[in-house]
Amino acid sequence: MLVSIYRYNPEVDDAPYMQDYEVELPEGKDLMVLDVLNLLKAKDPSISYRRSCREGVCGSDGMNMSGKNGLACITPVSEAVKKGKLVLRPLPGLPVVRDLVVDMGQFYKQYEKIRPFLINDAPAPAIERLQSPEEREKLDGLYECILCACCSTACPSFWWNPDKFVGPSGLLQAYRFLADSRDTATQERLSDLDDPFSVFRCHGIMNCVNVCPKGLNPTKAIGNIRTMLLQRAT
Amino acid sequence: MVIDGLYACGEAACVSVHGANRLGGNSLLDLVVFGRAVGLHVKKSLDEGFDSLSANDTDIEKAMVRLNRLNNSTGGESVAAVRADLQRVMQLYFGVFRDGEAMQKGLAQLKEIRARVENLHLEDKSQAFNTARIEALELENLLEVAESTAIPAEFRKESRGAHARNDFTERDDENWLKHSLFHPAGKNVTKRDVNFAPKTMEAFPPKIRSY
Ligand code: SF4
Ligand code: SF4
Repeated sequence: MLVSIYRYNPEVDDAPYMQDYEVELPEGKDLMVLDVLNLLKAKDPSISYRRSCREGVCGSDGMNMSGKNGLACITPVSEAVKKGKLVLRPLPGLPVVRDLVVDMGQFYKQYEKIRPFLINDAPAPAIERLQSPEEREKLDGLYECILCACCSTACPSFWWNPDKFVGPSGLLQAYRFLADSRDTATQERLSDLDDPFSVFRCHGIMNCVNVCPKGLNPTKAIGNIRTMLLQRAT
Repeated sequence: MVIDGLYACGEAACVSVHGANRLGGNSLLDLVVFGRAVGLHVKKSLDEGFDSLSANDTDIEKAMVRLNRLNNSTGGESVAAVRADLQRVMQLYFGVFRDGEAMQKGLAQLKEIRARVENLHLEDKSQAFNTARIEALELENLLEVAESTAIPAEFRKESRGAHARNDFTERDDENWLKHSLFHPAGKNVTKRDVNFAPKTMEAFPPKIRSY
C-alpha cells in the first residue's frame, strides 16, 4: 500500500512536502493507521508524530487521514485508504512543529479561557458535593471529551478565528460546566462567552460532530449555550 | 529518604492496597482514594512551602552523559530492532504462566539486550520534536522496568495472584507473604514484611483467592 506523509522539519526544510512510502501490510488483518505509522517509523525513525495510549483514550494522535480528522490508533486502514492510498497530514489550521506534530497552544488557550474546572465558593462538605442521578446524567456526552482537537481543527470558523472563537471542543467543555448542578459560576461563565465571536462564530456546519472520535456532539452543546445566552438577554 | 515535592501515584507508587496484584479495576481504588490524598497533600505542602533539593553537578553530569551518548552516536543498533527483541523476551519468558527454567533463559537474554541497549544508534539528531530520541530514552527505561519485573519474578518461588508459576503452583504464605524489593544498582531482590497492623479498621485476613 502507498502511504503519503506530510513531512516538514523546520531545521532543514524550506517548505513542507509529501513523502511516499510503500508498506507491506500483513494478510487478513486490518491494521490501525497508527500501526502503519509505527511500521514506517521502524524503518525511517525521522517520521514524527505524537502517540501514547494507542487505544483512543489519550487523544495524542489526532491527525488528518485522507482528508478526515480522527485518531490514528482507532481508525482502521480500510476506512482511511482512498483510491489505494493513505494520505497523512497534520491537523489542519494549527502551526506545524514537525511532520504530523502541531502546536496545540492556540487550542489549549481556548480551553483555558472557559475555566475548565468546577467553581463553587460554598465551603466543601465533609465528603463530597452530591448530585442526583438525573443531574449527573446531564453531563453524559460532555465529560468524555479527550481534547484531541480533531473537531476544532475541522471547523472552518476556528481556522479563521482561532484566537477569538472558542471552537467546538472548548465550547463543549464550557457547556459541561454550565450544565453541572454543582457549579455556581453559571452567570459569569455566560458573560465570558457573551460576545460576537466566542460562541456566535459557529455556523452549525457540523464538521465537528462528523469527526469526533468519541461520538460527541459539540454542535448540540453550542446550541444549548446559545439558548442560555438568548434566554438571559430577554 | 522522603524527597519533598516528588510525588508518585498510581502503579508507580505501589501502595499495595491489593498486595502486588495489578488486575483490572484495581487502579480505580488508587485513583479515588490516593488521588484525593495526593491532592490534599499537594495543596497542604504548597501552602506551607517546602525546600526542594537542587541538582548538583554530579547529577547533571550523569544525565548529560546519558543524553550525549545518544547524541554523539555514530553507529550501533536500531531502537526498533532492540525494542522488538525486548518485547519478545518479556512476552515469551515472563508472561502469564512462568517457569523457573524459562525465566533463567529469559534473564540471560535480557543481559544480551542490556549490552545492545548500551550500544544504541540515534540516527536523527534533530532538535525539532525528536521522537526518535525519546524512543531511544524510553527503551532504556523499558529495560529497567523489564529487569525489575523479570528478576523478582524469578526470585519469588511461589504462585500468587497474577504471578503464576508452573514449577511452584501453590501460594506459600509462610515464606512469601512479603513484598519483593528490587534494587536496580546490584540487581538483587530482598523481602520486606507486609504491614498488617490495623489502623482504624480490623485487618482483612489474607486468604486464598479462588474464582
Ligand atoms: S458546528 Fe460550529 S463548531 Fe462545529 S464545525 Fe461547524 S462551525 Fe465549527
Ligand atoms: S469533542 Fe470530540 S473531537 Fe473534539 S476534542 Fe473532544 S473528543 Fe476530540
